[in-house]
Amino acid sequence: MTNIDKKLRTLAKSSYWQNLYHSSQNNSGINLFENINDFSSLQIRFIYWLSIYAKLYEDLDTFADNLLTTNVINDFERTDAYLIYKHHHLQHQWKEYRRQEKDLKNKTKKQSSGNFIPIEVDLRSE
Amino acid sequence: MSEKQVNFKELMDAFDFNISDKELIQDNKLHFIVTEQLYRVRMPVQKELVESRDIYHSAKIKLLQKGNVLTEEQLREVLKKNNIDIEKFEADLKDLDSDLIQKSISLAHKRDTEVTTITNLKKEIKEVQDKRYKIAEKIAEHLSSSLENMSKDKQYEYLASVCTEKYIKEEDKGKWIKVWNDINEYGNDDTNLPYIALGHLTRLILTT
Repeated sequence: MTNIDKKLRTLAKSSYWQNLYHSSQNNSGINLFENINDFSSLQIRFIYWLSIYAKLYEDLDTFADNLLTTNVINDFERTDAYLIYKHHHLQHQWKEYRRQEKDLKNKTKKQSSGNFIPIEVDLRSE
Repeated sequence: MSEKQVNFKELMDAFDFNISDKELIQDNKLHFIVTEQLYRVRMPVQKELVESRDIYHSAKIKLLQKGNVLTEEQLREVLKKNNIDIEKFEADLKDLDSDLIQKSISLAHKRDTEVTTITNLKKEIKEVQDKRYKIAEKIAEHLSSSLENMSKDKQYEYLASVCTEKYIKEEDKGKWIKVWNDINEYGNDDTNLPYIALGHLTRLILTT
């Protein structure tokens, strides 16, 4: 990790920038930067890290994952490892969900085609 | 510009230590100091971006007309015939990536109390990252002389030449003025400034 990345991430996880980030999202008129468009790549990377740390703090507060601790957030290497794990885990879950969904669809299709009974209905009025 | 002697230590100092944390993101400009003079690179405006693309295309045509430059695809073939297999390097990168994922997942599962294991895994991850960096650097070095990369260099040099400004004080207020009037002046500058400006500009506009 470069020094610049360390600096960006240290800023992004600070409570000052986290508060500013949350405030800026509620149409409060608060801007993160002096410019409001034409963001530099550094600013885009910074926004990315702001959102990542916001999510990590949220998960930490709600005990969403017992692998996530304050020590993990305070350690760049462990945070990276956790994010890789999380991404991998979510991808796996998503694949599993898609597989189950496909199985269910196939099953329903099979059942409905096998048990189809035509019914004759007389719609004429009495 | 490529013929100039580059002082790498000075370049690294300029890249890593001259910028305070807040300055990195407060606006879309990067400030830096070289020999006590304050400079900044700013984001190119639309017109400059369009011009830079023209420079890229005309550099490509000029290089093609010269005749002794290879496209990336051709260069890969020539390198392969000389036992430098870029595809093999790229496959090595993929393997290292898988290794990195496995080690990272393992690290993510360690509890705060498993201090020694955490330290060892971090060391292993760092070793894989260093290996990865060296291979990526090797690939970039071998492909740097391709038609596409050389044209891209010209494009970024042009952007650095128009987007670098220096601060001058006039009576009680200051103003920012262009450092170089045109790309030729930029190319003839034999200090390290063009390299430093190019480095900052790349950092400013390229998401890595």
